[in-house]
Amino acid sequence: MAGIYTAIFIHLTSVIINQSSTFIHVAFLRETPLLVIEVFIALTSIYGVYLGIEVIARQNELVWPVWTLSILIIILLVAKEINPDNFRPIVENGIMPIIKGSALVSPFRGEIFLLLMLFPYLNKKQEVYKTAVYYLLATAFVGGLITAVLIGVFGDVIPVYMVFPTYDLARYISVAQFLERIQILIVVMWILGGIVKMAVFFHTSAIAAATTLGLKNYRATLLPILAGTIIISRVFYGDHLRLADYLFNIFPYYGWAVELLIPALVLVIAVIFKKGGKFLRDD
Amino acid sequence: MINLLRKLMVILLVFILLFTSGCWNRREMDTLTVNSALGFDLITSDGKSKILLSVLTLKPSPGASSGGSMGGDTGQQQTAPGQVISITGDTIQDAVRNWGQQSSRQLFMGHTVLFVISESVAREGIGWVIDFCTRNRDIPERAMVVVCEGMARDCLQAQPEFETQLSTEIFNILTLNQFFTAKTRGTDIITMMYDLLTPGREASTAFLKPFTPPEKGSTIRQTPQADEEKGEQPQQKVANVSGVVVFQGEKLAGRLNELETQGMLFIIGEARGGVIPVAFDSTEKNTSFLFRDVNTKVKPLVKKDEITFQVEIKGTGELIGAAPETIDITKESDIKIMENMISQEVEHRCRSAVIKAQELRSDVFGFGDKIHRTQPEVWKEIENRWEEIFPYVEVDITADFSVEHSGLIGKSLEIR
Repeated sequence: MAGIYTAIFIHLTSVIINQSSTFIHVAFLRETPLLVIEVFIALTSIYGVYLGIEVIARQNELVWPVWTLSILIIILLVAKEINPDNFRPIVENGIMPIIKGSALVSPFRGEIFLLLMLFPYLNKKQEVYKTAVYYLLATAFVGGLITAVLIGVFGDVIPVYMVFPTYDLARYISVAQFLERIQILIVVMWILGGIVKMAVFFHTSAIAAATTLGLKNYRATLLPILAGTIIISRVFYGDHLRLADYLFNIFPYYGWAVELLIPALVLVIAVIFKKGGKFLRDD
Repeated sequence: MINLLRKLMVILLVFILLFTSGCWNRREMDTLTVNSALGFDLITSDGKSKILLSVLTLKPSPGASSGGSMGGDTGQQQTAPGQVISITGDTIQDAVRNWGQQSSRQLFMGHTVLFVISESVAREGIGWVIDFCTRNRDIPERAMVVVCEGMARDCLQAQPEFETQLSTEIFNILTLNQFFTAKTRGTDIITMMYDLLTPGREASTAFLKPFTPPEKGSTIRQTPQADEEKGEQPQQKVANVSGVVVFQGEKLAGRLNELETQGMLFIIGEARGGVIPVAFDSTEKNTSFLFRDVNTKVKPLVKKDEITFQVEIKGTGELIGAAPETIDITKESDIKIMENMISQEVEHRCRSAVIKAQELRSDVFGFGDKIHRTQPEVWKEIENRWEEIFPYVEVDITADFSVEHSGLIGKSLEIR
């Protein structure tokens, strides 16, 4: 079980690496090989992981205000372009499209299941539920807000065609023909956030691998994992189109399975066999 | 051990910094041509239809160190900083890359502000141009799309009157027009895409027209050289905008003249300022009203077999000119008459816009979109037939304008 999950974590990490670097590759550095971007971004976050979980947390603390401010600035600057008419008609085709749409993004919310892996490291274990709920609400709110702004500005049709709608949103900002071209904010946010997220995933996979192999120190597994993730990301998701295919067609089911179904099954089994918390924690 | 590792890490990081201080490939300024406008024409060569892409480039100023002469002879370095260079290709992207066949510098489109599409291309469809504009990552989304009379290549060669670049001039005209005259509509790429993709809404954009000014080269940029050689050179063309063209789908359907355009802008609520002359106490137009703060409400009324749109236009403004002995702004009755006349004139302009658009079967007002947004269940039934329905819908226009003040002079002058 632990081995399977190690593989799953490594796979998820490689997808995240690919996501992070593909955007840079497609939108900015088209002539830079994807591999180079991937290696540099992954190395940065691996370094954070190497220094331990506290560094990741501190890094997150640094990134958070930058991230929030950037998104606020972008939304405020583009707010005058919002056309309220674009929000109508509300729920035109019934409730089904909403459920389908949520299914697509729900695995991203489900990534909070990593918290299970971080559980042993927490000092105040009681607060974890509260934090998790806050996290879920916050990501859902930010995601919803950005989507709402997108629809308000571009309508409901254009974003369908856009590959990176939020980036286009930032590109569209123009205040009095003076404050323009601030799309680089998006890149800053993307790289900063991506590195933190990647670090958490790397950390998780490293712990999982170390547990599987019976190692005391997870740091030894970092470099093999790095190599593995990059190879997976290059071999399976060599280009943006295949990545998009995965995210739209496979990830919803796969994500549900590994994030909710399997952990839930394990929990049920554990309850049935009355095994204690220790077993759960190992998974 | 840790210390050694740390030192190694620092050295590694410094090396990474040294070698990654930029992009993978160099794209230096002196290897690029910055273009500010692109023109699209279709030509036939060898029986095949090809794209003629005209590029309005910024020429490096003579003072700046330029790597090589740019296509033209060096004697032309003194002329205006813009230069039009055209290239052909099977597709736009092909043409863009073919640029490299005749120029030593790569095209950089990050400063494109204007896309000029010739009328004949627009009749064939502009979808591929919009695709090019939105897919390319360098092109700013605020760039304007206009349709021009004749060939885009000739149009781009028109001389700018005040700005150094024609593209800047047209761009500024289009951005300011909405607030100044409201007689044309500048449509940027995203708006164009929005209009093209939204069901029940057709696109419209400014119509660019080159013309030869009657004034003898007064404001027109004259090249000093040409002056010396010929003494007087033939009048150069300048470009102006005139009304809008409207599309049906991606194909150009026809033109609206300036007054019809203003009516259209009133209905879609984009008119923010302009002058309405009215004939007060006379058969001739002798009084000018400047409108501001226009608010438009469109309400679709769907009955059994007919659809009516109620358009309510409310606006305020000021009296900015009156012929002698016409209006007495101090009299309440005169203001009332004036306001009625203005409202009638606005209604007239809107109505003519609607009639013209219905003739062209092009729903530039987004009436269908309005039904879609307010009564989706009705829209579902008529969506496929909307093109046939639109020419016959009733449009009720009521305008209500009020005069707020009359500038620094009260009643009109009384000449004795």
